[in-house]
Amino acid sequence: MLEMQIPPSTTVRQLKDQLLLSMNAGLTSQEKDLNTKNLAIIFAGKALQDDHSLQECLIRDATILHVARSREDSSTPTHDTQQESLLPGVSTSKSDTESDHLIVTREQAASLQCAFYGYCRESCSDVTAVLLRFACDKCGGFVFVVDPITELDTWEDILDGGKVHGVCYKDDCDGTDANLIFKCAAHQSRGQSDRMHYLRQIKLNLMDIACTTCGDVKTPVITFSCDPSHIMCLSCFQQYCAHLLAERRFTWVANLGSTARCPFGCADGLIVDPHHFYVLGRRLYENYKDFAAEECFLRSGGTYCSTCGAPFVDESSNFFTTCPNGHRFCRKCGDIAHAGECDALPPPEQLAVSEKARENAHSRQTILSTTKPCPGCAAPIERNGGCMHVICARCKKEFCWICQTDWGIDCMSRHWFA
Amino acid sequence: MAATRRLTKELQDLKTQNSKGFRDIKVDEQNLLQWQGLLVPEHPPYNKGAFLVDIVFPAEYPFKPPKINFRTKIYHPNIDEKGQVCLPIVQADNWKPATKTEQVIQSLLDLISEPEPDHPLRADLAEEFTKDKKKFLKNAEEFTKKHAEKRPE
Repeated sequence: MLEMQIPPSTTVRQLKDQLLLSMNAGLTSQEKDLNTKNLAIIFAGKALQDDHSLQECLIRDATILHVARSREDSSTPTHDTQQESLLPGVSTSKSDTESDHLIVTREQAASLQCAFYGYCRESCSDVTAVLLRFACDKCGGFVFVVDPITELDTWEDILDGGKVHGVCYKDDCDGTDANLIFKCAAHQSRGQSDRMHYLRQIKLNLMDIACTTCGDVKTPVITFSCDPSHIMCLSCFQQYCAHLLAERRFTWVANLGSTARCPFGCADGLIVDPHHFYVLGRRLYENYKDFAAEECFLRSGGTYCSTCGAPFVDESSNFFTTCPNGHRFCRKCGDIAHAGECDALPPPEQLAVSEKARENAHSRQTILSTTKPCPGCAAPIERNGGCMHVICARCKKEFCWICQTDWGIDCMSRHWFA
Repeated sequence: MAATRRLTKELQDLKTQNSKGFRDIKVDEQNLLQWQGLLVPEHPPYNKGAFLVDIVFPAEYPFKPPKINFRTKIYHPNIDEKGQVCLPIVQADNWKPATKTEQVIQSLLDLISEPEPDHPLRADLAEEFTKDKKKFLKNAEEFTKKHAEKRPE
């Protein structure tokens, strides 16, 4: 283990020179040239190209690099680099590979730079490249050399919190386990706690696929979980989510919550980690969280008071309910206790009730005169054109606009043909 | 703006394809959101004429669907006297941002050739279509000859 302080503009070749100097000051210039050629500096499983600067390779503070000599040279590697590549889809570089296999092209280097993305909420407020670090489980430090990874088969295992083993080199720490953590590559680290969330559905667009929505070829892109892995560029995804939020059109998926569906509508094409909605920006992301929380609460049987909006759970099947603040109201229509049974149509899922609590009297009047309640969930619905076959945007109930009952062929004979 | 970039591409593609069913696409270069084209159905009773159709894209396109309106009168159960049409592919609930205008036009041509009497905008025509199809076809053909645009050569 050799600690070095190097300016970020240093090229890989210069670093190799410095390394050789500190390893063996007594080499002749001929030997030195030979050795630089046979030396590979390995980062994230790939050998770095000589004319790249460390900055270009996204090498920052507290980074551990591995140095290897190719087999042409008889001496042994200075560090064990027989380690599987951590980058999905990137071939493994081993210390005994022929030297010309160790050379990466500039395109490959570019893909190395941007294989992982996250949303930097701390400083950049943007999607940025992610730096991967192993942090010691005991002291949180980054001076940790990991053992060859054998027990953890896949990249996903490590991402999902699987631990890797190794040696912590920080003074007085004897930690032997490390966790994978993510840091923003776009701003100078503000210390150990400056971390970010890795967004695994944001990927490099290596195949130059056009955005399904605007048709432009951009990178990185959002990939949906469907089998053809449909993509959307980040700016379209941002607008798409803002639109879903404004129109309350997120897709509800059990065990996942409110999420966005693939632009082609693939049944299995979803955003599987809601952290991707960070791209909405701080304010809209908060709105998304409120929306998702409310939707989840209502779907699990919660009720919002029609007067004060207080959330509560009443598991009884009574018509009337009383909120924690003592407001009594009808669960079907949301009105404060009326005489007798409610003549509103079917039982609401309470959305309308919660909406009523928020609107003032004047808005309520307007909503009342321009909408009809959905027979499924009582959400107020406005019909701005089209035929009498109406589908509720919230609960997807299909009904006849005229008689407000389930959509069916009966309505046609009953009141469509006068 | 996503709408303009995408519509420029879609318009180019449509013009290159040179579709027989949808011709003479007119777009104001200052406003790509308003299109007009001539719908030329192949099947009777609508193959005796052609129909001018407006396609209006919202500024939020393609996140919101376009609206379709007939400028030429048509005798059809799914298109009302104002020219409004009930086309499932452009309904807010069914709309997918990846749906292309080309698909919308195809779906419109399909609806013209095969009316859906279960989702009528004109109940009287839907009733006639269901109960006396012969009479419906005769009326529709006469109406087309009288009111529709001339078919391009």
